[in-house]
Amino acid sequence: MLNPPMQATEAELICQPAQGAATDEFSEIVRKHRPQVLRFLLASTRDVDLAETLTQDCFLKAHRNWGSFRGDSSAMTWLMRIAINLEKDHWRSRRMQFWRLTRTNAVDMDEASDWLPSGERSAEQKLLAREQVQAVWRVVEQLSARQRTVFLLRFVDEMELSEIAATIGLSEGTVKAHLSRALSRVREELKGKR
Amino acid sequence: MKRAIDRVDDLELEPELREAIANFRLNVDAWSEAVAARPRTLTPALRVLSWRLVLGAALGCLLVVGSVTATVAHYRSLEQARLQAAPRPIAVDGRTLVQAAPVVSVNNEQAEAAGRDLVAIEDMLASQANQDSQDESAEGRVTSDDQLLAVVNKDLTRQVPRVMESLARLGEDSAAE
Repeated sequence: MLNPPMQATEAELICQPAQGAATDEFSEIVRKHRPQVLRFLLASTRDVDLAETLTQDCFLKAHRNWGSFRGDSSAMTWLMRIAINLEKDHWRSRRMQFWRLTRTNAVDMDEASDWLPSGERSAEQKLLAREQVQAVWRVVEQLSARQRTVFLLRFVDEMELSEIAATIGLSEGTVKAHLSRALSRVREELKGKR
Repeated sequence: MKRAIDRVDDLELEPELREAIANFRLNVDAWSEAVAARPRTLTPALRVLSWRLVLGAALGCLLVVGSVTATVAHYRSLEQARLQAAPRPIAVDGRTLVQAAPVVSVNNEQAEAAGRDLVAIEDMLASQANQDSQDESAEGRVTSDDQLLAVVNKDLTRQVPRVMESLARLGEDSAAE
């Protein structure tokens, strides 16, 4: 609910208590990877407020544990792992709090599909692109949590299969299988649309 | 399964699928950039939060004050009733009597009525005692059975109704004889 300004001074806000080179390093991490984390969480939840809150929590948690980050994996992999766990925790706590009002701020798929760069497309091309995006959104919504995560990490954040495997703790073969199933669903949806 | 994995591994997507996924990525990019660039204010959330806090605090205070007031009033009324119904020493003719407290629960009105009755009884007993002492001093010591009987008759006739006054006089006459 409370979303402090995160744009220009997010890195400074998060890194305020720390000092020295480690702070500068983490500030750079925040500047570099925040758009990717936010993009993934936004696509995964379709909830602007939730995505921003989870992104903020992700970097806060990363900052607290920055000292214990050994660099075995890339910072992006580490951050994505934190983001995915936070999202899981969020949905788990929502399930436990079943007595609460289950209002969600998730944006409708049609509304989400409106966000397309105008570019130099004709009206027909824009309409076609919008329909394609709607079809993909429909499939993404119906995918299992794991398939959705794999699909979004691959095609929204453009991560390599090995990075995805390291992020979600699966073998590369399993990641490929999940991705294959997700693509088959998209393909079917596009065929059904025609 | 093997074939599916191979296809993904090669990432050979047909043009339409590739285009759809590219458009999807552009869509998410544009949306997240718009989200990152949007202005955010804390005021509405804080206003809602403070309004709820104030309402909750006010209701809480009201509940506490109400319950404390009701409790104090209840105990005060109980204390008043207890004091009114408590045993009190009564001085009658140099002796001290104690009026026993009734073991009943009473409300305020009942307690006041009982208090009034008690005062009336005390007055009556005191006046009776005075009257007896006056009678004793006037009549002197009773020495014989006849005199004692006469005194008793006289006492009885004092409380005889008006229609029986003639009988009372008869009693007085016989006492005089």
